[in-house]
This record gives sequence, C-alpha cells and structure tokens, in this order.
Amino acid sequence: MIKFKITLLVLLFPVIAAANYAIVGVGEAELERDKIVFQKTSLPKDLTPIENSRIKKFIDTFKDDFSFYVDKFDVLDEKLFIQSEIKNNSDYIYWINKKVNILFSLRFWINKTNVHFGLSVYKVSLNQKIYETNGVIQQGKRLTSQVHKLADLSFRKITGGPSIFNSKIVFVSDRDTPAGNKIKDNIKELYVMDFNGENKKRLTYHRGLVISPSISHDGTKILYSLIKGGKGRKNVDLYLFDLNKNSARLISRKKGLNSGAIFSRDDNVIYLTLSHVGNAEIYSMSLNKRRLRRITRHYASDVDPSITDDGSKMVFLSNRAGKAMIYTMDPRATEKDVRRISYVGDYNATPRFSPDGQEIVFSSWLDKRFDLFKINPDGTGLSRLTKNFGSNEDPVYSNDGEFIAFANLMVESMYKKKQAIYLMTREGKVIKNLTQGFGNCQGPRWSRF
Amino acid sequence: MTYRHEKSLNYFTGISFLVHLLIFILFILFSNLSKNQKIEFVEVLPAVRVDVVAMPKLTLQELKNIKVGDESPPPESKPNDKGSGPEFLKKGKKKSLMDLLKKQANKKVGLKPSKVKKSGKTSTGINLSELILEGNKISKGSAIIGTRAAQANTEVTKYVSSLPDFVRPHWRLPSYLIDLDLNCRIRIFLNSRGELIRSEVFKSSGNKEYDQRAMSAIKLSQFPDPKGDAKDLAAQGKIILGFPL
Repeated sequence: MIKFKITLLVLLFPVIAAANYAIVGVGEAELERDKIVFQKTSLPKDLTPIENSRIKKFIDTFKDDFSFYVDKFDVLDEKLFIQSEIKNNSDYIYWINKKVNILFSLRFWINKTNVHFGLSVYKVSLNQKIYETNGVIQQGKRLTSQVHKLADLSFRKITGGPSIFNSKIVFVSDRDTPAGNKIKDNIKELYVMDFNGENKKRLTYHRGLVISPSISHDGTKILYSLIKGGKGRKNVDLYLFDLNKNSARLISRKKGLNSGAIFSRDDNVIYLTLSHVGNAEIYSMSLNKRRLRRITRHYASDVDPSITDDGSKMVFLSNRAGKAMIYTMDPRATEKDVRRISYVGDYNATPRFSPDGQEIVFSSWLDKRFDLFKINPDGTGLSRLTKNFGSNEDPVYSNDGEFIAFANLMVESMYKKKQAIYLMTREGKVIKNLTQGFGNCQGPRWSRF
Repeated sequence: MTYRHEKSLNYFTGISFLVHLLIFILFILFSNLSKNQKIEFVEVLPAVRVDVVAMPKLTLQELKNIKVGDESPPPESKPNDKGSGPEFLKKGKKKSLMDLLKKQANKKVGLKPSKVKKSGKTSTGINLSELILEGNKISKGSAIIGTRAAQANTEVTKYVSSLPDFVRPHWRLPSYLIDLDLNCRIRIFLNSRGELIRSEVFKSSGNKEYDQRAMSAIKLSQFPDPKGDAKDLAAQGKIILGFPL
C-alpha cells in the first residue's frame, strides 16, 4: 500500500519544501445556465396538417416548459445547429464545442393512424444518454398533459429534483360573472389551471365571493371560504371541494370568520382562522371529527397561518404589536415559542413558507401599494422582490420552491383596474401573466405535486 | 494659648490652601495626562456602516444588476480620521505595531462555514480540509501584512496560490449542482511551460458530473510557467486543486 504523506501547505516556504502535496482551493463556482437544444432528428414525409400541428404542439410545449426555468436553462433555437442524432461518443464533440449541455433528440413516425414519438435526452458534459422513452402522441388536452409528464421526467433526470410541469394553481376570478352585474365585485368563483396558465377550469357556481383557496398536498381537495351573495346571512363560511367528485361541502360555519384554511402535510388536519370567540384566532381542526384545537390565544387578531411540511413551525400575521406584523411559533401547542420576525413595514400580509421552510414570502404596504418581500424564518435576510409593478399581494411558492405566483393589481384609471395572476422566479424575475384576459383574478395557491 | 490657637488657625489655613492648590494642579495635570493618554492609547476600530432598518428600497434584481465595481466599499478607518461616518472608539492598553499586525493576520475574512466540509479524509486519515492554504479561505479582503506573509513570498507559494485565478474563469456549475455543496480535488501535472500534461481526480465529490466539470475547468485553463522549485512540484503532480476548497 502506497503511503501518502500529505503535509499542510501553509504560508511558509520551509514547510512547502518538505510537503508532498500542495493543495489550493479554486473557490466557489459561478452559476451557469445549461444550454438546451430540442432537435428533430427524423420526421415522416407526407404528414397531414393535423399530424403536423400535433408534432409542433408536442415540441413547443416541451420547449415552453423548460423555458420557465430562466435561471437554470437557456433554451436555444434548434435551427442554429446541425440536426444529427448522437450515435457514438465522437458525436458529443460537436455539442461540446457549441457549449450545449442538454440535448433533447426527438424522432417521429407514423404507424397506421397514430403519430409516434421517440425521445432521448443527452447530458453532453457526461457524454451520456440520461433518459429515453417513446409512445403515441395524444390529442387535445391530453397531449399537453402527456408532454408535461415527459418534461417532468426529463427534468428529474437532469437535475435530480421535481419540476413544476405537473403542478396546478387554484385561484378565484370574476371571469364568468355576467357583464353589467351591479354586484360584480362581490362574485368570484373558484378555478384551477396548469402551472403555465393553460387549461383553466371553473370549479364552483356559488354566485358568491370565494376567497383564500388552498389545495391539499395530494391534489384532490381544495379548501376555500365563501361569502354568499344575495340576501340572507352574510358569514365567511369554509368549504371543501373534492376534485374527484367535483362537488363541495360545508366544513365550518361558525359565527364570523371561517377562513384562511390550509392543509397539514398529511391532509387530515387543517389550520384556519376562526372568530366565533369574538377575536380572530388560529385553530387546527381534524377533518374527520371536526375537533378544534386552539393554537393562538391573544387579545390581538391572529390570521393567515402557513405551516412547514414537518408541522413544527407556523408563520402567521398578528397585530399584537399594534400593526400587522409577522410572527412564527410552534403550532403543536397553544402560544408556544411565539416570536415576532418583522419589525418594519406599515402593514404586512399573507406570509407563506417556501416548501423547504427556509424562506417566507409576504406582501407589505409601501409607497401606497403592496409589494412582495421575503425573509428568513429567523427574521434575517429581508429582501424585496417587486417594485414599480402595480400592487402585488397573495404570494405563494411553487411546489419546487423555484417560483412564486402572486396577484397583481394594475389601476388604469379611477374606474378601471385589472387584477391578474403572475409568475416570477423566487428572486423576483417576472416571467408571465397567467390569467391575461380572464377577468380579475386573485388568491393563487400552488399544488404540491 | 490664644497665640497657639491663632498660629494653629493660620497654619491649617495655609495647609488647606496648599492642599486645594495641589488638588487643582493635580486636576489640571490629570486632565492633560488623560487627554494625552486618550490620544496615545486609543485603538481606532474600523468604522461600522449602520444601515437604517426599514423595508428595502431595492429589489433583488436591482441589487444583482449593480456591478461589483459600483459598490462603494465601507470606508476604511484611519487613526485620527474624523470622517463623516460613525466611529466607535475603544479604550485599551497601548499595543505595538507587531501586535496589531498579528491581530490583523489572524483575522478570518469572508469565511463561509456552511460551505467548508469537515469530513472528507484521505486514505491516510488526514482531514483534507486542514490541508488548504489558509489564504484561499479568504474570499476578498485587504492585504494581510506580517512577517509570515513576507516569508511566504516565495516562488513556490506565489505560483501555487496564483493557479486558482487561472481556473476560476472556467469554473462554472449549473444550478442543480451549485446547490449540492459538493467538494472534489483534482491533481494536476504541468510541464515547464505550464502546459497541462495530465489531470486526475484525487478526491471525488461523489457526483460524476461535478468532477467532470472541475476537470473541464482545468483543461480550459492556461497556467503560467512554473519557476524554480515550483517546476518540480508541478511536473511531479504534487499540486492539487480543490473545488471549491
């Protein structure tokens, strides 16, 4: 066995002279966006316009999905490169020279009436094919769903982690409220859409004001509060919508607020704000037996809970300091380890944990509008995300923590305003308006799968 | 009896006057001395920049767009500098220049403890994290002046510690690797012209792509000619580059 004698290289020459190895640290690497190319290596002749459009939709959806990760990937135009399939190791050299690291090679062929695809994903830096699959291209909405799934599988192979491609966003909108309705502002219904704003679907028909929706971790249920329209009792009641049964049921109708409800990690318990005792307090409720457990007990109002996945920390909003400030606590007992983490801002609102529990995004009233900020759970690292972009509220992290969806309000005149749901990176780079031309939308909540 | 009494009164009045005079002189002397002492023994600590606690005005994107060169560094403190920035003075015993230099040299600047791995032992059981040039832990800072630094100003040390500057421009990682907190070490063999003859993984990060990217960064680097004793060290493959440490 060869014996190595490794001596510390310090700043003294005599030590170096005696040393066998000199180790020097290069330092932290710079962040590099991976260049991606989607290439069609084979395309059947005599395609019908429908087949052609399906292939185009297939490739475009794939490219669009990866384009959302603006901080990770740089999706390049395939026309800039030679369209050739990688058959042996020497074929990687062309892509290495072009500094392309991820190569999607797509092949298409017709078998009877079906359009088939073959997908190979190469990681050029490793000279390796990292994923391969094939199948039949689906039609309509199933096609986009199929590509999202394939894109997610490819993403996992590339990065080792999940993507947002299969995720959904629930939100409320006045989109289908009849035009000219005098009480239009008070009618908002629940909708769901894909992460990229496509496939929007209306879920409720209450003819009332739906607020603060929240989707379960398994993606099958949505909690929301409702203020019923028309005459009669005006109360903020809590409902549970079952996406499998496509129906809603009343969960809590105590006097006053029954709102801001969110699911625990196992979806069996919910955390919500109730005000039946005269003051808004945060409770947990078992969904089976509706058993209540009080979490906050203070003469001030406590609202808007958000819980980490392990259930050990809750962030909420409280005016116990005289102004709406952000607090954290251990929700496993009443008033346990309550700690104020925000000391600035005139009015802070809707604090939400990132999926890893390492950050909290919230909105704060500043310069006559709401803007988005984030802060670490220990109160450090306060940073600003939005500015000069209307009024921004209701932020929520994506399932992978890389993005934030939020409601943006643009006031065009005294009588005209537009509220839409936008997507941005967790660093505040705005990517897309997800609800353009879809009425006034707010309250986005991201699914966790 | 009366005379003695009068004498005693004058005597004590004189004593009292002298004592008061002495106290006054001592007070003047003491205040002057303490003034001098303050000037002589005050240690001026670096000025501290205190940011006003409020909601941040700049967004993260705006902060990112500020070029590094545009950032105004915190003002350096100078003895007796009565600048506009707040200064904190600390009384203490007079320290020699050597003490101050030692203190400065022992200062750890810009350390990132979370990124420094404590594990990672070689086959001989030596903790590799202990084998790193101390100076390379410092990300950025003012020059360290001292007798050690002067001694270290040799060809070998100068050569070895210059190598990261040639590799760093090519050392890039995608986001999915940069967050993994990996560490690998590559052994390099250079000829007398500084050309890379061979490189091999000395300690793997456990991630093939990470190691590969470190190797690529080395291959893309153009190293300077080693001189003197550094020539042998380079030719024998006794230089190991740590990514990041």
